[in-house]
Amino acid sequence: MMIAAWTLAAATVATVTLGTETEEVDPNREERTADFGVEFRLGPYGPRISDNRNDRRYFRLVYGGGAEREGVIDANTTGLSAPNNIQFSLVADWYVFDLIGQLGLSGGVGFWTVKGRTRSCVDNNANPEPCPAGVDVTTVRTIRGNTPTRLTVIPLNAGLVYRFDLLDRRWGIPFVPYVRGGVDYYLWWDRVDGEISESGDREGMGATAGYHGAVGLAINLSFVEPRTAAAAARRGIAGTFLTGEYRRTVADHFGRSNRLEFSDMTWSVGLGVQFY
Amino acid sequence: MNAVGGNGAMWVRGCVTMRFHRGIGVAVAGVLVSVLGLVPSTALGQSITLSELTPFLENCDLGLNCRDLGENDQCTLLNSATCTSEVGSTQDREVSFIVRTSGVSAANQDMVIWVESEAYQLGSATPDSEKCIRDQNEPKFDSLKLETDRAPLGSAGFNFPADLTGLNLNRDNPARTRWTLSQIIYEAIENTTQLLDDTAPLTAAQCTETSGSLTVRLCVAIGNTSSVVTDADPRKWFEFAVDLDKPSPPQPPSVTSRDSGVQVSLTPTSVSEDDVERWEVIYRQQPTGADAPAPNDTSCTWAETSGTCQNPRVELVNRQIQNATENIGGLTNGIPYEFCVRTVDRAANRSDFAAKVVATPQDECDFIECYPGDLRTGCSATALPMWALLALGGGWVWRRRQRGLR
Repeated sequence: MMIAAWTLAAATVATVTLGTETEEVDPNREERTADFGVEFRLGPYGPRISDNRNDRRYFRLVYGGGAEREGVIDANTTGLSAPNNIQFSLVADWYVFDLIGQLGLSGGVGFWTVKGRTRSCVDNNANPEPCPAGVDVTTVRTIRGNTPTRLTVIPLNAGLVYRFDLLDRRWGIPFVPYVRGGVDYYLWWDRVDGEISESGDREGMGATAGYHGAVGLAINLSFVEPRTAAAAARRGIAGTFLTGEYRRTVADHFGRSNRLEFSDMTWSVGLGVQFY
Repeated sequence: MNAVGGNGAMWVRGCVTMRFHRGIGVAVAGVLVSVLGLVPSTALGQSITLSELTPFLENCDLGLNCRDLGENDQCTLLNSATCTSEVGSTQDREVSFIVRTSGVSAANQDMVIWVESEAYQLGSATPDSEKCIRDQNEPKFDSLKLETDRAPLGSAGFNFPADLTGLNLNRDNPARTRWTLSQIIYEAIENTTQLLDDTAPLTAAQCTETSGSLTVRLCVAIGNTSSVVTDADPRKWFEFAVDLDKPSPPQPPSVTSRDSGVQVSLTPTSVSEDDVERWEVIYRQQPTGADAPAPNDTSCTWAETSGTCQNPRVELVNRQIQNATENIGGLTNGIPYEFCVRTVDRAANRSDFAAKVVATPQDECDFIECYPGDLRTGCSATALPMWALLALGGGWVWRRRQRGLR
């Protein structure tokens, strides 16, 4: 967040001081709008997993604080953290309408993974023993197991994007607010010791659908090197953007409680390029 | 194995296996050698030269002993491990080769092939000028008279070491034997390789070394070689070193029980020699009942007698041994397993086994297995309408763009 704040401040100052020069370099900026954009984003992410407390606690046992903690954990243990690893994503926009800003279609793919450990039930002396059939593991004594596990999530999304770039195009103010919205499809798989886990009729892979909305601010970096930006524009690069975004995702398969839920509210930063 | 050729440096890559029966130092190897000839025939009487000696390799058993040859023209140790217990066979390894030449043979030229041995020296310290040289005092050997004005292509082969019985290969006695090319054909060859299937047994010999290392050198020479081969004669060779010493066993590994598996780990202190290439882990379910081992029995006799080709077998191939670990999966939870580990050196000699260790895979809950709530996995058709709607929207936009609307 500090980096984003500093970048914002620097951009404001640069806009005031360099705005005239930027206009001189590309006086026809308003007449051209980008057709495409691609963006690489990263930010923290932690799926909700379920609306049930015990399910969420079990997720934390295997992939959160439980996987990191030594010793016995039982139903009374508190303070188990949820995993909050970085999610990477690649977003592509196709701007098809010019409505004071750019309105277009957007699609993206992401990657998120977390490592964990199996859980091993123990007796009163902390000796491993098979977990009783059908027992809720969050309610009995367990220790961290010896077998590594990994949950991997590939979020796919598609939707609309609207970028209000009038300020940037007309007056050279490099701030472009934008909104996004669309549908999501989270592919996931769970590996145990390198193999897809399997238990009864459950297999360690699946998918969950959902939707999302996001607001963000893009900073056109052309003011940093206006001449370079102008030269790049002649080669089809409309601009390079630093972006910050806040996103709310509801990925619960549209209310189905028996699917892993990948909902989250999180922020991310990105670097994007637009093309004519 | 690494081969070093005369008349110009040469090295080769491939896989070779030599095995020695413990105690008698019997070795087995598989090598196929060729001498390449690419120069078209020219004027009558032009002398013939050997252009290249390239081993081809075959009969590499189970892939276990196949490995890249050494680098920098350095002889690489070949294995001296017994083959008997591993594959249930005492078959030797075939060493066969093809001889090709550049140019055509002149009048009165002979081709001879023989083998010699010497004490193994890392990097083959013997000067090239002293390799594959014969003088008047050497035992006389036969040679093959080449036809004049022909480009010969010959083949020969032998089984190592059985066909060398009586050869007296050792480190201190440079020994000679010879092979008569059993088949010679004459052919103008350009960029082709022809392999001839000829592995006729050769002179009886015996490898007298039982420990240490020696170098065995296969020599090919062409010229007026019926009695003498000098440094001036065209000749080629390649060498392979035989390591007769088995490595020391590793320290017993540490084992960690997992869900349906066991992790076997070797620590750096497990290694005592420089030429360790890998480790082998052999395991089995611990016998029960009358066959159950005594409580303090740490021997791996069962692994010795059953041989390494019995499944399951795992090789730790991590040469960097800082944290050499191997995860063995597919085991049954709650059943004790015995694990025996031994070292394999670069020559594929196998050490004695370290003390047996026992581990029992344990049932552990993975995320899917013990997920407490109702969980439906697999992909769903619910999202299909969503994707169909998106596709329709995208198509509509595309058509507008195609018509110039924006």
